[in-house]
Amino acid sequence: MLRRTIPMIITFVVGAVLVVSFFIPHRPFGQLGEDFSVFFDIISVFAFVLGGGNLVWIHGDKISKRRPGWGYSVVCLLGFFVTLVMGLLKLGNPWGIQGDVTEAGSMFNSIYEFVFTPLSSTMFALLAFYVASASYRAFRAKNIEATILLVAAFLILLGRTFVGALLTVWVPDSLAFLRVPNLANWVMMTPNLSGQRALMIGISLGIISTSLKLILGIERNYLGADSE
Amino acid sequence: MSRGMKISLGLIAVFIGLSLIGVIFGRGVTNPLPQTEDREFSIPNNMVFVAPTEHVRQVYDEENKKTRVVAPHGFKIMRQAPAEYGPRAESDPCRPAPEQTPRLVLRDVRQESRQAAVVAGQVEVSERDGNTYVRVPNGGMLIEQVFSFRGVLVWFAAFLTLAIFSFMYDDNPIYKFSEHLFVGVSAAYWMVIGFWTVMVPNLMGKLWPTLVARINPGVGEVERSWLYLIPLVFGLILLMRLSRRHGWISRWSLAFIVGTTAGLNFVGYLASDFVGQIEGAMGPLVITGPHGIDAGATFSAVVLFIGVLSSLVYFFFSSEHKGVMGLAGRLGVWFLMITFGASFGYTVMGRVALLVGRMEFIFADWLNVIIK
Amino acid sequence: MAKGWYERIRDIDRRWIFLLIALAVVLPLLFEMYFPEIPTPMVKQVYDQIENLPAGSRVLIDFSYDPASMPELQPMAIAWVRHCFLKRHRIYAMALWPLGQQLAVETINRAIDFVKKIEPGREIIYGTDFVNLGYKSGQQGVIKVVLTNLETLYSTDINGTHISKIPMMAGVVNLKSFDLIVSVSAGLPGSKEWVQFGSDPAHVPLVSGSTAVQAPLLYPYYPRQLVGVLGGLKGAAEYEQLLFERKLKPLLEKRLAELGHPAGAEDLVAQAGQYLGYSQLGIKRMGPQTIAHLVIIAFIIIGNITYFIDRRRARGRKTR
Repeated sequence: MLRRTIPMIITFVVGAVLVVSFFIPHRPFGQLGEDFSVFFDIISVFAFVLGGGNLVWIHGDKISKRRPGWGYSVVCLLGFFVTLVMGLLKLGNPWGIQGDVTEAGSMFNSIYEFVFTPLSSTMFALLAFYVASASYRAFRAKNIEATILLVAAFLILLGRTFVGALLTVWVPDSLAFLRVPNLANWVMMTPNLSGQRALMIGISLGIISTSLKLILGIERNYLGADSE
Repeated sequence: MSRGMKISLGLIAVFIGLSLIGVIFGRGVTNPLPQTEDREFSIPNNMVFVAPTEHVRQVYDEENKKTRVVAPHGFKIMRQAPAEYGPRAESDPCRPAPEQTPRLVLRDVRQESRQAAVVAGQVEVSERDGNTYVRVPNGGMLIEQVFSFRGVLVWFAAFLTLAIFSFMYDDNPIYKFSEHLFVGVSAAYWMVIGFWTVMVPNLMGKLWPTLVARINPGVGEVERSWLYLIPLVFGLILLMRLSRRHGWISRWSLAFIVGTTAGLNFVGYLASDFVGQIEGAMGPLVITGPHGIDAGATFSAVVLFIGVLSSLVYFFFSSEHKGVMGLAGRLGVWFLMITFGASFGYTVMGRVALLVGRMEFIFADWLNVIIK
Repeated sequence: MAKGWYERIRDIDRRWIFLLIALAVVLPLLFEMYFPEIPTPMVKQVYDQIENLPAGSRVLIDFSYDPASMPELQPMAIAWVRHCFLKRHRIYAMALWPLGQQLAVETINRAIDFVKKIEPGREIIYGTDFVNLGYKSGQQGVIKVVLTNLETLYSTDINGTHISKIPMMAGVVNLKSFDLIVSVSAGLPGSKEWVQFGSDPAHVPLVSGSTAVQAPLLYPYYPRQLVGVLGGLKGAAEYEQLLFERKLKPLLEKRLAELGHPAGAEDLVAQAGQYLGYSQLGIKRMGPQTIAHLVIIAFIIIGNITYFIDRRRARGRKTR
């Protein structure tokens, strides 16, 4: 009862209230819907705390048992605790503890600007190199479908540059739709849009049915095994 | 020496080499030494700046229509806050409650001893007991001389950027160092943001409004609401996941999270992504213009309709893809390939833009070789 | 056996590819190469949506991005704020991402400096011309609440002033009080959530500026639920080009005519060049973007040529 029934009741009540609040935005459903959204936000923050706790546990264990690479775990935990202390105490904040936590000039903001942002942006920027490598090694016109994909990508890449416009500037106005930028635009607005629309309808059907199954208690995998 | 160590040494060599390029070809590499600089801060409301009157100078900037109040030895920064934080006095329900204006007092924030200036369009200046009090009712800027470590931080950021790029050659100790640093910092970052932007105003602010008002006056006046014990309890229950014996109870919190997500998504996706998209797909197939049928627009409308239909047929697995269904499904695949090709093109664009941003940081912010 | 030049090209170490891409981005940056942009119909529609609003309209701008996505999104955010100020629209800034509120402050300050150079003597007053409502946590929940009642969540602005004391907040009750919603979006929550929970239920026009990765996913909402999308750096550059051609250039030419002497003309021409080059971040960054695209196109072509040559050789070996 405690392990399965009550969680299913909670899921049903919360889900149903949020659905009803869309159709009846007045009290009590409207207010409950807003409150539940805020509650969700608060509980999500506890999930971050859980994640942080897990991180400390795993890396702490690695350090204490001197497993290979434990030095890097020291770096990880150092970065974690320094950022945590600077942020929670708002050290160096120009307006003190009352200032906004992301205030420019605070130590927390400096860590964000000079450690977090360079690292995360560069991680994403690495993908540009791997995309280029994939274009050379893997992007092959092996069959009709791959050829269509390749041609579409080619057209978009070329059409979104000045060179694309230059290549077909000689095309007369009566056939302006054959100019590369116009073709690229048409590909985005018509075949791409139709494919994206179909994908969106399919995905939304999946999400709607899964949400309904979760709310009605038909889908229970998130509760885990009964032995837990 | 291991391969990784050699790569790390190569990275350090590249780092030094690039900084030399900045020195030779740039306008001067960002100075890594700590130095004094003027920094601007946007002034929140209810801040009061206090300095001895004899040291204060007021200047009016005609061009920008701003008043500048300068204190060469800095300001004492104080905040106007209600004198008492607590529940309002109960009023007679049969009579309208008289307006209660809270008594305001000045509370210390900090003391600044270096030169500082307050710049704003509207400034309220008053003098009392040999001190000048400056208040900015509509927002403004505080310009302070600060001891800045920005230079060394820019160098550190540039080093971390190159460290991550070094992975393209091969894995190495400096890359691993940066990677682990990123994991630790990002975990703590989201915890801190979650604490100050969600827990403090939305949870603690509702359960202990008096305490929160002292540290976060911007929250405004809030009535205590015991209803917020619910997310507190659920949140603490979620932390029980760390326990092997009692971890099962965290399912209750997970159920809340799952229920909220399911409820929000059910309506949102049904209205906008399902019904909205079907409505969008049901447009006229023959488009007319001022001179009759617009061939181009009509062709596009027909292609759009056929594209949506055939792509949906491809995802219909309840009957075998043979005959007409098979042909339609095949056509749908082609439309989907165009979609994926377009997505690939845009993904390339997005990733290259981020790379441009990082290179701008290296060559503009760090090496000063280009102007940003 | 020694490899011939064909084998070397076909089996090239990927690190050489990485180096070529890096050079394709760095060299145009160093030599400040950029190209004119041709605005596409969708960008023109977005521009016209803001341009055709009567002066003084209420425009809600959501700064839902962080410094990591600034290279793509900051140029379009600045262009939009500039456009709104030039059209005398009232800007209501908010953020669904924590660092968005700081970026809103920076963006608006930059736009104010720019507009004052274009229109000397122009006063842009906080509380009358623009207000920053700040960041609120809750993701799409925030949009859901603001749809019916703004004051429930946004009782004060970023400085702690109650909204009843801010002149331009008079008459603003909920999302339906706005004439246009502008969403600058780097992910979740962003433009998709604005369509699902905000503009679609409220029937308020929405324009979106998103990262290039996200842009294709928003096309299905066009045109019924979304007026238009500025996709990534390209969209930002096109918008900047439109703004320069339709707004800034006529203003500059008007001032040139008013001044009518060489010293003033040189000053204005220099300013125009400066603005086009340095303050038009999108156009400036499209230079390296363009060259990188061409390099990747070349990689695709060469890769496929080597593939077809190998395939023909393999078939030739089979028939022998």
